[in-house]
Amino acid sequence: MDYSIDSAGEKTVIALKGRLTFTDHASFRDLIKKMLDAPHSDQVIDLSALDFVDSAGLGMLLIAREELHGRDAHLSLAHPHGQVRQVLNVAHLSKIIEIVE
Amino acid sequence: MTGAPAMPQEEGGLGLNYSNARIMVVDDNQLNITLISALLRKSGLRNIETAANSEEALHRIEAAPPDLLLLDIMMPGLSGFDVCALLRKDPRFATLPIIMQTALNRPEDRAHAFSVGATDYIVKPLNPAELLARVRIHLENQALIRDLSLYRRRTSRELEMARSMQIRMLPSLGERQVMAERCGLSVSARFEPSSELGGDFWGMQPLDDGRALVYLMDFSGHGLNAALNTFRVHAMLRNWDFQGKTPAGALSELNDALCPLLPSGQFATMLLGYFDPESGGFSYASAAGTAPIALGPTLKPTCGPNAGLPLGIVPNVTYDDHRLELPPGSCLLLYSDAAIETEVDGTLWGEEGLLDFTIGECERQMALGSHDPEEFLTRLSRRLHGPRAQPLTDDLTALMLTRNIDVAH
Repeated sequence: MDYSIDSAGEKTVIALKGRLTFTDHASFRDLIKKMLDAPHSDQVIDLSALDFVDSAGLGMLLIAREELHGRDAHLSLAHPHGQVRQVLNVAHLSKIIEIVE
Repeated sequence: MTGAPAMPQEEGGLGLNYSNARIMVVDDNQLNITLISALLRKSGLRNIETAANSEEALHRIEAAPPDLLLLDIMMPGLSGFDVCALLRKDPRFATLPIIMQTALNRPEDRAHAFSVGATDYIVKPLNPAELLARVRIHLENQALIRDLSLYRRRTSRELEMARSMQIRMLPSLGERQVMAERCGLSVSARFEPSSELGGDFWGMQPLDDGRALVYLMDFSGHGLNAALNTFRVHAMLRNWDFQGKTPAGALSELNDALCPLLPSGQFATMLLGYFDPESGGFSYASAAGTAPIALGPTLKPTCGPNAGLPLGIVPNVTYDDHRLELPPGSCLLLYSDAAIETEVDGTLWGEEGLLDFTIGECERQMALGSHDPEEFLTRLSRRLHGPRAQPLTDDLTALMLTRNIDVAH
């Protein structure tokens, strides 16, 4: 998984790229730290370039949500496609996290 | 040679103490032996043995292997090169640190020493500080290697034991036999953890009301922490009261029980259902489990609905009940993520890939007039592993439930 963080606009936008799996645990932890340090309390994880997520990856998205909630920040997911979209749908994730199509 | 630095007893915080390490010094020159031994003793190494020639050295090494060997090269009879080569042929001495000490100092001599398996090389006249530093570093390496291989052996023994415990936690053939007799439901199963331990498990239980409970659970991630979760939830489920509950109700209760147990980011997906021999239906609920596939002689393979919030994330979730009809002779395929999230022929297989494969296999078996769920599961596993039998990156569990034609109920 690769990522980029853009805090130039009104929200902090984190773009994930590639595959988010079990092996990305350490780098995703770093990403969460950066998100907590980002200037905006409104943050979006852009999934339009993410091609695959496994159960561990889904767990990491949930950790990000919880950590941001702990700081009264708001996290949403945007533009999932393909397998990622299917996994989010099957897991009814929109019940606990805002998903922008 | 008198100003030798002392070898510290506390070794760089590693907690290693070499004073008892057994060092063997082999040299045909008595003066050299005396000098080296004195130097080593002065540095705190107490356990020094000496040998005046190669034959004596080999004899004593055989009787009691040292922790480190300081070996002269030019000796009458067998040379140090010969001794080194002989020792390295014996697996017992494959990792014994052998430091060659010699007056030979041409590049080809060094190359020769390393080619016969020397660990290190020191040139005479010996520099005391250099000799001690090299002895020390090789003893340290040796101790670390021993430590690591002991740790590795112990860990793999323990993982092996945990693995057999995990396999024993799954329903036995005897239990499956009881299920087939009481509920008319035969279960074939395949369980392949991707590492020593898996995050998947499944279970079944004939209930007093005549129904058969079947569930498949998949903890997020894999390896040790996912496996620990399977043990604790398995213990919980054994004493769980499923009587008179709808699948959705049971899942909702399980979710509430799991929420306080699982840390943030860990969850479980689950499919839980009851087969009712009276009505011939499988009613189930899914917490983001994979889509069950029903198939049979009179049944075109179809995926049942499977959406639902995974267990252990937030409490007070409601799930939906679904139902699949299982006419006599038809089957239900349940599986973990690995059966759809594996790359087959270079692309992600997905539900479509699995469904196509299942339809194909179903037609193949029907054309042969056979019904062999075990063969189906074997061929499914082979397809997922690919032609080069690649290891799977996630745990695989696959169950084939067959509603028997002659229901003894």
